[in-house]
Amino acid sequence: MVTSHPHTSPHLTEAAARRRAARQREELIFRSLGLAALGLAALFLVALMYSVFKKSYNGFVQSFITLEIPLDAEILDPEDLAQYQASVGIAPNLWAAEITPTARSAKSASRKVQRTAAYKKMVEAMIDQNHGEAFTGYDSDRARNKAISQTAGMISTETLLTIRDRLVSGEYRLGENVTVRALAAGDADVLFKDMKRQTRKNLDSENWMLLKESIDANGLSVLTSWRDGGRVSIRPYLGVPRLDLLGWTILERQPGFFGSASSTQPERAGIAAAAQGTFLMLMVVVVLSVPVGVLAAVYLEKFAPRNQFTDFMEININNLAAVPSIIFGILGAAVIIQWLFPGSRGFPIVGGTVLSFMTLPTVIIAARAAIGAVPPSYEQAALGMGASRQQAVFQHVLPAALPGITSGVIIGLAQAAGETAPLLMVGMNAFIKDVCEAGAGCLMAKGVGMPSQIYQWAADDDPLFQNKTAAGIVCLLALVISMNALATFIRARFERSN
Amino acid sequence: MSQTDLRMQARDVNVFYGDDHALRGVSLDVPNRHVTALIGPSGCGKSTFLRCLNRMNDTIEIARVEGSILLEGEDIYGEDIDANLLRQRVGMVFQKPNPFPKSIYDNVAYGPRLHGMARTTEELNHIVEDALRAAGLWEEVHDRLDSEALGLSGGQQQRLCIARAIAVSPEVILMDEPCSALDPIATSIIEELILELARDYAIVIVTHNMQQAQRVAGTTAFFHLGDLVEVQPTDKLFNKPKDQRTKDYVAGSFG
Repeated sequence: MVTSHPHTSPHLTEAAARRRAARQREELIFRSLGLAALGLAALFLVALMYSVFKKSYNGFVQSFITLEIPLDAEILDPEDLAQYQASVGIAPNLWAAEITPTARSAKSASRKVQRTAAYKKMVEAMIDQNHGEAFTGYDSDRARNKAISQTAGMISTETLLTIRDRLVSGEYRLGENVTVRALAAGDADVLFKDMKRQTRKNLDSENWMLLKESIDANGLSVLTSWRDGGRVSIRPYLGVPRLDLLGWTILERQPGFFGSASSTQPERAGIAAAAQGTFLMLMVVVVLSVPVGVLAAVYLEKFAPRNQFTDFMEININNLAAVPSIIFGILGAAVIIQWLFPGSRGFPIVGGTVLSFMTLPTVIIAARAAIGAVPPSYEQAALGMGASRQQAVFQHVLPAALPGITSGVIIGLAQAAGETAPLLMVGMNAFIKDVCEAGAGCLMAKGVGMPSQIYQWAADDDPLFQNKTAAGIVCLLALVISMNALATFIRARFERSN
Repeated sequence: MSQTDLRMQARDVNVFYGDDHALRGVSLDVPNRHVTALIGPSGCGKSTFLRCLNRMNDTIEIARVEGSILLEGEDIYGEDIDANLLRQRVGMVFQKPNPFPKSIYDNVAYGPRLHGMARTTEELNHIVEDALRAAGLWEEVHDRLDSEALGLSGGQQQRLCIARAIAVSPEVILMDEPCSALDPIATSIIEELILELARDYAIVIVTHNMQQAQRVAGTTAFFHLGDLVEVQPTDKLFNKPKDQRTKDYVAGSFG
């Protein structure tokens, strides 16, 4: 081992050590800055994901209440029902067969039968009859009736409408008792999920025990006021007695989000119609922008003469990719809806066309890059064999460029799937309460896309709509991420095979 | 050498790339069943001349060709000439092996399919087999015709390109430095193949390698700065060059 040097090595001088230390310090600073940036980005990502995913759970699942409802013939006049049934062409199908429609105005009957008030009244009557003892200690009858009405309000209007439809169609009959799996109204739904979460989280904690005792003693109102100082959405249930006294079975985790379209009632709102709209639009984008984009790329890359005009076109195509998407929306609204096809506002085919405008530059740029990356030797070989320019390009260059083009197209589609502004401009934010079942005809029916659906929900401050917003965002993220993953996969496979 | 033995005759060919006069008044005959080598330093115009012979220069926008090049007495730059058919009659093998990213079979069958030369699959199979045999590749690949051509070695790929070129029964085969990307062993195999093919075809080969020209060519043409300096039987050109520039080049003074 060498311990000393006869001559001072240049590595051991003080100046060298100083320079080295400075260099290492700079490297350290640079590395830690990089790491900090990365960590910050990861933190934001995790925070975003956490808040979105946490919020989305309530959006994906629905609460149901199983209860028995007597279809009271005193609340809904059998004669009214029969008359309404006759007016819509259904044979009266009643418990009291001797009742025949009279001359009373069909209009007033239909109003009564159609409205949900009568059915809600049935629920209220049932609550009063079966669980009346739970509603004690109110100042007045009016307050007591209000509490009963609020309790009945935990049943979604949606379920009341289902009862009505079944009564009208003859599936249910007046006078019988039906057991219904009722959808919980939005506020109640949030409340149930919240109670459950609190139960899970604090089951053994002292806190929870205290809370539970006070619930047992004072009813649900304590929980709601404890929860967040009585938020707007919970206020309807202040004064409602303990749920366990009602004998209702509350079920959670019934996924309904994917099966239903939008609704004014948050508990009913689902992503199905929006997913359908987005799917249809993406199909339109594929049909329009792939052939046009790829052929334009082939022409520009392989056939266009090099002159000022093509240079100008090239610059414009590159610039188009950076144009704010709302501009394309304005273009669609002005050219397609106001000028070419009036009345096409909100059609997926229009939305898809506008998204195609937006996707075209992306497709053209990606396809040109892919075509340009094909070794010129393929084309030379084909030309040398006597193939025409066109044959050489379409038989050899284009197939070799296909994986690159495909991944570019998918990325363009993913981009299009997430665009909101153009959809708003062309009316692809309609309120759609039923999934369209007209097949290709749905292209020409008012529709909604996933981003605009999310935008709609986000504008509603109902907590359940906020949950639905998060659930919609999760769906959109899943779609976009899986499309990008597919593109990456195709490209990686292509690169490996070369 | 009689007139009928000449496959191609170039007369006073001038090529311009824009303002650049790349080839000046070149006249050269391409005899049948014979290898003609084009040598010269880089940028001398030998490849440009080669690419005139099957009009590959057409694909370069700024290139302009003057003069006449006759194939079997017919001017290939004439109005009635279809450049695509011409390229079937005058095949080409490139500097770097450039098989299509397809199967071995599809590579060889590409030309016959393109020009509608086979009516049945059997006919096509025959053409492919004959071409692969002629290129000396049949024994090596007959049991894996469906595998990827890009899986072959460089030398095999180049022979595949030769097979692909002769599958359409050309009258002339042009080779643009066909061995420059190959190792010495693969090179010698290709050179033997060239000599063999010269029994049936007129071959024009561009080479940087003077030994290669001496080994394969019956006639050698020396190009310099766009001029065709000298055409001689190969041994004469190398041993008794007439022109001083040729003398300097073959002696290795420049190039």
